[in-house]
Amino acid sequence: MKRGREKCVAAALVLITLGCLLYAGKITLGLSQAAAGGPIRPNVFVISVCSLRKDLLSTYGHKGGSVMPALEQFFGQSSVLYERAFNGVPWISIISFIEPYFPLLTAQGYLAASPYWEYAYTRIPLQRTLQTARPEASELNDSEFEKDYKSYAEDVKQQILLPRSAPFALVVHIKYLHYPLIDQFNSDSEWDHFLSQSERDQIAEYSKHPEKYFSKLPMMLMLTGDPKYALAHPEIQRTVKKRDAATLRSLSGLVSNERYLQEWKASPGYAGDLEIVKKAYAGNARYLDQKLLEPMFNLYGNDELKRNTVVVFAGDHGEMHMERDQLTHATSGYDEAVEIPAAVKFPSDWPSGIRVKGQTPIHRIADLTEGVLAGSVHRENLAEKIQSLTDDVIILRDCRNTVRGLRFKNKYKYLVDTASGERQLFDLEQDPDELVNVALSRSETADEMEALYWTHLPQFNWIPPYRCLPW
Amino acid sequence: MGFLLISAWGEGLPLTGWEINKKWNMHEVAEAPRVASVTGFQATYANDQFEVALKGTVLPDSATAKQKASIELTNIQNLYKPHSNPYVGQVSDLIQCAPDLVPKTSFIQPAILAGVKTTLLVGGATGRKMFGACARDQIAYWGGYFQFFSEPQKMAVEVRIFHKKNTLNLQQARGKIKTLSEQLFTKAGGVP
Repeated sequence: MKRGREKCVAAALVLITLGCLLYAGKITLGLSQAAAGGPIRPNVFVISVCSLRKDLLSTYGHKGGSVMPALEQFFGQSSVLYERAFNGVPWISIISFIEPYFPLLTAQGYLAASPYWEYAYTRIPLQRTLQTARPEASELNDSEFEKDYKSYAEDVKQQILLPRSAPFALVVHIKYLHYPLIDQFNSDSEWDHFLSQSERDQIAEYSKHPEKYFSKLPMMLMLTGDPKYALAHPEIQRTVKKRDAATLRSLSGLVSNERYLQEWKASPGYAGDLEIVKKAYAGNARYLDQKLLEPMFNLYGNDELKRNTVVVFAGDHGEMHMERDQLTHATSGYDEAVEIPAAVKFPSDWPSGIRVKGQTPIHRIADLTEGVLAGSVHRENLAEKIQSLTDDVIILRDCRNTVRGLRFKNKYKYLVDTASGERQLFDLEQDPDELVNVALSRSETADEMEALYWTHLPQFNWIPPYRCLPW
Repeated sequence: MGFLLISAWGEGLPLTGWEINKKWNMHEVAEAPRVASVTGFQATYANDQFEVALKGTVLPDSATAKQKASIELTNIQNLYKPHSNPYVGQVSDLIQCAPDLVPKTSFIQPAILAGVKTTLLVGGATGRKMFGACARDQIAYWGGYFQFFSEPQKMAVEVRIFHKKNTLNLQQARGKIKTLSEQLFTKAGGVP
């Protein structure tokens, strides 16, 4: 019995080793090419920003003063700009698509690392991507994550500037724009930068009397994440009997509950409330841009790194600010939630000025990144490779599988509501804001989209659902 | 093409070779969407007890249809489950189904599908006929849901049946909806 088990273990090890060798082959090839005078392997620095709305940026049509000048400049100087990039699973970042690659890169001499920043929210649970990449991280408590930008920025800086003989691959995921929007951890925070005194007073008033302003629940959870606002709501007081940590944590999820959002919307002062949320978000974006992104894009002033580092920037998803009565993300398939700003800046001797107009799913940006890391994408073939990394069909779904659908060729958006079975079809060329449902008048197209959904479903189903429901 | 098929709809369901069994005395709901094309159809029927919403989609093969039926049934079942550990930022509804309101599933064998069984789910639905209703005051209908695939026409058909809650409990509604589901369709008079 024991020998049988040993044989099984040995066979499994052989298979795993063979698999790794086969998979690592393309990386080894890249290194060999470099050694033989082929393309030189650059450093790769991936910056992922959580909850970034594209309409903050003039690159994507924002009008008025720039909130994020460093990011605007990066986009202006980028070699590859994605004009229409999307994440069909709007709670997962590019890291999920890149990180599985890291152990092999490390084995091949790349220094691969992924410092996470859980910013300002002790109740955000550890993310499984981190646990997968660094198993020891599962032992960390939430409180052990860095929450102040200075220590986080210093950590990233040190890792980038570390003297080394091999190229590095570094991925950072910055959750600064993820709610709660009130930054309690950085004394120089700017979440209230754009707020007037009367708006600050309004927040103070809601905070002081949560039971009086219980209809403001989504807004106050968005700003603070504090379950006290949920517990002040009469319906929740009746429903929630337990007060343990898990229950309190789950209450923060009520930020996107449809019934409470409707209640907030119907409450006096709603329009002003929404402006406060938007301004707090913009204030954080400004801070993020100045304190973190600007030095990262500048590669901390290191000229050598500027010559041999590829910088990949990608949002992970957008954020709903009550468009179509939705707040935050992971609950929506509309473009405000799934479209992401994205660009790649290559060293100056690589091709530049490439604009990708085709709809590009986030995993194709990851594919490009992996190609650079593996050596299969280099300056000689970049322009050719990049145009092939788009997809006619991008599968979309929300966290709970209550909405599913797809985006087709920048031409159609198709969504199905699980509970009602209602179908939505938007002609994105005629109706880019997704306001006119033509599913009935163009039922044939809707049927074609439905069939496309089921034939393309495997597009993402290899990705773990994390805390969301499985595929 | 869609208009052509609508005009040729007659009493049968387009592209299926079936029609609604006359024993149920159902009429088409005029105000509900009624569309048809070579890629699918949509129609709603009702009698004094039930409302039946049908949606057909042409799919490439039975494996795809099987996957669709399985995933969609699971997704509807999940609407009734509590979400005690949601992704932060995701909907967290505190309502939890009482044991007598937890949706029930059972195998059915529609008369038109010789020897083929499919799964029927029966659970609470809101006044807007949305599955996932768990609280007693939220449930306005008992809803039945099943799918099946017609191989010759490559047509995956989704069926949503609603019965006014009235004084029925879930168990009683389940029996009525099951009977209707199994005898809903008959072979159409003509070849489609």
